[in-house]
Amino acid sequence: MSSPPPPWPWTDPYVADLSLPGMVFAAMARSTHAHAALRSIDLAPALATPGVLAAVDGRAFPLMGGVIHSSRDEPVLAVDRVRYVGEPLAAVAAVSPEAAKAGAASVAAAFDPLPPVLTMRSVGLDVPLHEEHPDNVLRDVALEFGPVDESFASARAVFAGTYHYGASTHAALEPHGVVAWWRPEGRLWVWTSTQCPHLVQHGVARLMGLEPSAVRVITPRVGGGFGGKSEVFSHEVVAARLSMLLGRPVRLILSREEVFYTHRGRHEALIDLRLAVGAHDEILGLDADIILNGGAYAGMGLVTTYYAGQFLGIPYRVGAFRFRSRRVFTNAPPAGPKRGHGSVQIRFAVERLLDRAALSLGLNPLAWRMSLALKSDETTLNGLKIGSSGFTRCLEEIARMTAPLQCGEGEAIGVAGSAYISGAAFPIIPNRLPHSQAILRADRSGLFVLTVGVAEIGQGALETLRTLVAQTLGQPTDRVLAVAGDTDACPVDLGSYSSRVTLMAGNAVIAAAAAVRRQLLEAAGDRLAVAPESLDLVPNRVVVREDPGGKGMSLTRAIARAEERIGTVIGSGSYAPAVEPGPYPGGALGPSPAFSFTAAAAKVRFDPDLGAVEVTDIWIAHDCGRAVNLARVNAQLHGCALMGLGEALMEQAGLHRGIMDPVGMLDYGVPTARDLPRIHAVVVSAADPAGPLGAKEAGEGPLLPVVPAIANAVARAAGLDICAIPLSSEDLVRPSARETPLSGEAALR
Amino acid sequence: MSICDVRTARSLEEALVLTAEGWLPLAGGTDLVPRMKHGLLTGARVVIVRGLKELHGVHTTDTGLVVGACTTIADLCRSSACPPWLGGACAQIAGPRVRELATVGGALLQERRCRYYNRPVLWRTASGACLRTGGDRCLAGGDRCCATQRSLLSTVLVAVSASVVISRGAEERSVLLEDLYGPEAGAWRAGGIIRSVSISRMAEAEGKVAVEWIRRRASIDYHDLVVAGASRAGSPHEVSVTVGAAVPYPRRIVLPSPAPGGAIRSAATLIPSAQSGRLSPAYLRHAAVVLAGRVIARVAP
Repeated sequence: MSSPPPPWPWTDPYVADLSLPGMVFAAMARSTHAHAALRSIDLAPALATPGVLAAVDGRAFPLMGGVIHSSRDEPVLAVDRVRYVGEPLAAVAAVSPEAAKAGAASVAAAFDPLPPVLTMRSVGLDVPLHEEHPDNVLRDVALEFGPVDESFASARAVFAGTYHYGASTHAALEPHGVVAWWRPEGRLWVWTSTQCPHLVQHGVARLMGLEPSAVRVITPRVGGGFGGKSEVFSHEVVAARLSMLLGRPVRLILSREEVFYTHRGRHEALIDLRLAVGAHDEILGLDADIILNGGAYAGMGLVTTYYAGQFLGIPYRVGAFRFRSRRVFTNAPPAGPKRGHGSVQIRFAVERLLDRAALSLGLNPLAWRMSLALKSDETTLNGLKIGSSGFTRCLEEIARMTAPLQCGEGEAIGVAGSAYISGAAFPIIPNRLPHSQAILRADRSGLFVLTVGVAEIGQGALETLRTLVAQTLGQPTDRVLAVAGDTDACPVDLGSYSSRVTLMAGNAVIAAAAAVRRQLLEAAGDRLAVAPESLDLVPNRVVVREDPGGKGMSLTRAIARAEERIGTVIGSGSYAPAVEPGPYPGGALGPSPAFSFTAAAAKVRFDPDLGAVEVTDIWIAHDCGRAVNLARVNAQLHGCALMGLGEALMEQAGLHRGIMDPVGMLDYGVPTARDLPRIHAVVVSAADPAGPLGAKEAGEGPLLPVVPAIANAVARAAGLDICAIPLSSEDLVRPSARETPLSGEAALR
Repeated sequence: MSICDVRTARSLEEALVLTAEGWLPLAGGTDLVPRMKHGLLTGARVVIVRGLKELHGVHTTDTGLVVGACTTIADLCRSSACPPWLGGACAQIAGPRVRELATVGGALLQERRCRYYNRPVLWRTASGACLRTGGDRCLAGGDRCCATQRSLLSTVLVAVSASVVISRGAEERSVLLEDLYGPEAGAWRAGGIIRSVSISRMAEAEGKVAVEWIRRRASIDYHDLVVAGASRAGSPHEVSVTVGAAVPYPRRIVLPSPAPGGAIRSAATLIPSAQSGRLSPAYLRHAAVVLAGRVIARVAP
């Protein structure tokens, strides 16, 4: 079998391609106010629009949405107040997309404008967005580990800086979309572009007043997520309600503009950071005050608030640290998880300050980082158990690749390091249930059918999981089919986020494969009169390990013998991390079964007259444990380099005049192929005992050091202290050049 | 899309009758269609002229190069008659897919753009109306529209004193491209169709044209600023600088010899003081001077 296995056989590849008998189309009316009381909303004009069949507003949804129990503050559709431009007000179903849009446009809403909160810098001084948070702070977290004040008092040098990290968004190529169908038998089927089908199942059920068993969520192919499709969204719930009203399938696909309003991208961050360096160049202390711009609603912001501080120190050994982290409400679309959730902003700040300190103290920035690196089996002050660490080797690889290089005029190389979780050790909704489950069935044909609950979002998760099965069973990967992304068909998995799939679903998959392997070897051993322990599986055969050319049997025959013996040959596996939370409030946010490590370098060419930056090369060395699928890991490293380049130089998604800006892909600066530098990616293998066959994550961690590596290179090339991302030519242009007087200006006006 | 009628012209004569009645000519559609999608051309009537053979082709003549207005940017690049300086500039326009659709005429008549105008309906509703959408003020500040034509091609062709042939009804005129953007020729071209662009041979000489630009990404994006320098072969003391993309329409300045410094700096003053794009006027003015110095260094004798 040389061709890849077919996709899970739903009708069409993406949600927007689905077409069901009797299907109608929905569109949403949205707020044009950043902050206003919603005085009234009138659906009558929409219902009078030709082709419109039904319309709903916020009164149809009595419960508040939100992933985290303690911060459910987001209405499905606005009820009495709007908190950002683009917030959903109402939804309309019609016989055509055009009629639905016309109906949505005719929804009449009356507002009483309120003063908008447009910046997080005035925290505590603005009109409250939520009555339960009078200071506009969702959560104010302060944690301290070790004697911070003493460490600063005894430091040989203290460095301080204020760093700003701009908001950015995911820019997945496929917009969010859903098809919901309330079926005659009284069940709801939901096809949606999501990273978390089981989360959507439970979220939609709760908001619709249904039992989870009444909701089936299916993820067709998903065109990218990057964290932006890991919550339960308004459009998913309103499509379900409209379908229930009409008894017909309802399709609702967000426009690109609506995707920008839906957002949930990287939090804007303002970080005051101090660093204490000891007599032996060790990090004595770190002290951070972090403010995160969370937008209008909580979403997953509680996690972001903790992550921003909990990952302050890693990948370095730190004598003491403390942080205060606050997530602030503003009248912007809600921020949320984006690749490297919570860590990217603080990594930029720490790596910049480290580089400044290295320059000031005359230390080689790369060698210094090596001396500070966390080693395998260390435990951090806040209780993060590191497991395996290949960080030193990552730095060595960067040194090896960059050492021979010469920098010309205006050129410089910057380096940075990072670590990241391989899945969160504790689920968002506290419980002791498995995080991942898998079922593997051996078919008489010689195929193995794997059923898992993860969502394939383009990252290659299923290929990796199939590879793990294949390696456990000694078979070619194309002998393994994967069925995924259907809550009716698949066991529970928490979803494709937090870089958890390879480790968590991978461990569940390996357990299931090991069970099938055992069944096959026992059946074959029984027939061959050989102890199962002496047998092995090789491609298409069961053989005696010590005599592979001797007696044995074909794989299909072994499967048949096992079926005769035990019936269906099936194995199941599940995984829950064996990790303890830190013994302090919030100690469950941060621990992971394993941590990946990355070192990166960037070479830039700087034009001082224009403040222009060209990144010519990016080097990434990433410790992903054992690379299960080297091609996929390399693809992730390249993708992280691309996204890091974009965040460093081009991408920004903030407010302009109180409105999300930009709202289109022409204006949002995702790098193009012509912007790409040379990317040099190296995989470092530090197999982790917690990972499946030693594997750790590779999808998010490699992004973290790319941005500060670029910033550090620019700082060196330009001779400036880079404190803000994205880099702006206007800020970087040589001051003396900028002050050039313009003669004749007045005469030519 | 909010258009009320679309027709495909079967002949140039038919197209001219329709445009005289107010129909908008659509060739590549890369400028017009996004504006339609954004609800900026409500009720517009559109005549598709892309298929008219008279408007296609790249030809050399005794005096220079003639390019049909509906020739795509990509076809112009691929033409063996296209001089390297022009092909190189065209390769910087938008991205490959757009270049296969976008036409030379469309690039020259590209509508002026602004961060407040080229937006979807909801965004514009939230931000309020600007001068072009029924408001009484420019949202970037001031009482004059600060939108700019972000066309690299028009800047380059103004720099080499290209001219265009315009048909309107039974009339036909040849107009210097730079003048096309002035009030007189601009008024006359309304209701007409650009047939071709002529680039005189003396501007084709290699090494006499240099183009520099500011652009966020190396593909797709509109240019923030384009500065083109040109010198006339045979009269080496005539050096000009043309500023585009950051100004309402490209403006050409002939630099006086022997002291061009003041004129170079004056190029910067062409940039409006209100911000219509992602970069501030102060930065663009500074960059215009820097880029003008660079292109002059490349074209000056």
